[in-house]
Amino acid sequence: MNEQDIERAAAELGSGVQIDVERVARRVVSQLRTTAVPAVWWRKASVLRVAAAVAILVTGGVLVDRIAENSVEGAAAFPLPVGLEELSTTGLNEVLDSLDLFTPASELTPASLNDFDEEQLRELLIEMEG
Amino acid sequence: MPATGESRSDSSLIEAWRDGDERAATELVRRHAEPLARFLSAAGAGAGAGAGEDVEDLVQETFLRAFRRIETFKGVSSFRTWLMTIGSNLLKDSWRRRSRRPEVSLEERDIVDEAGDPQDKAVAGDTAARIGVFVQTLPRMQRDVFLLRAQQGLEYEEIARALGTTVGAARVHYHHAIKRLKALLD
Repeated sequence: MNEQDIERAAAELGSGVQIDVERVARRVVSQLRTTAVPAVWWRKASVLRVAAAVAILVTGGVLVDRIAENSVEGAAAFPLPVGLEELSTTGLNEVLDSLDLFTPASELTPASLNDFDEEQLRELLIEMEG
Repeated sequence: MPATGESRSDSSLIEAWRDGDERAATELVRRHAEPLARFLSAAGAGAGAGAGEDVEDLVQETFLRAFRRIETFKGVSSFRTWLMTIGSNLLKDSWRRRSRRPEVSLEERDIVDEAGDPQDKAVAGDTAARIGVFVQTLPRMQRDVFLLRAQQGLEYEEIARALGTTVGAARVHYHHAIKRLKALLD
């Protein structure tokens, strides 16, 4: 038997096998549905990750910008050109009352500002100014 | 107007499946299931009782694995050849689980029904059956190269790309396969 005979016979190998192609197709699709499809899910997940990263960057940028603006405006709004030594207790209280945006300070000092003496108020303002 | 399933290229269907189109997956199964089944059967899948069902199960498993790992298909070889390499790996795994290759007798293999003289038919059928058995005794690389070439009609370049070898090595494997089959048949 020569090479051509072998090749001719080999070309027919497996020709008797019978499979139900439509059944295979149905089962394959059905199993792909019930289990995760990594390719598609991975693609969607990656898109979501990119979108989330962009959202964080944009939000972060806006926040940084606003904080920078507030700090500049804040400095302009409370320039305290007058020496703190020259303000009375009432004056110091009025200045501090107007700084209600500094809630963290009030959280740290649960007592009323009226409870501070003049020296404490002065120190607080100097801290905030600096 | 979008192309129908039959007229679309494999790469177009693969891209559609990557986007989750189940109809594209179905069309790819319809297109390649039978050649894949023939390849796996010739390689030894489903040898013995219940051959058809075993081959069908293996074909199904091959498609599932292919679709789940579609991102790894780079188009180096054709989709069909890629499926055959996946199927060959699954077949090897199933044999490993059973710890051995199945024993196949000549009677269990399908005999080719060729037209012509009854005596010639008998001889041809017998030869085909013997080749079918002997192919399964070849080392895996020789067997896959031989089947991809002789049964599927692929060029050495395509075979080499699919099996991750060189064209020269594929030719050598084929040559050894033929030599061995000749020796077994004589």
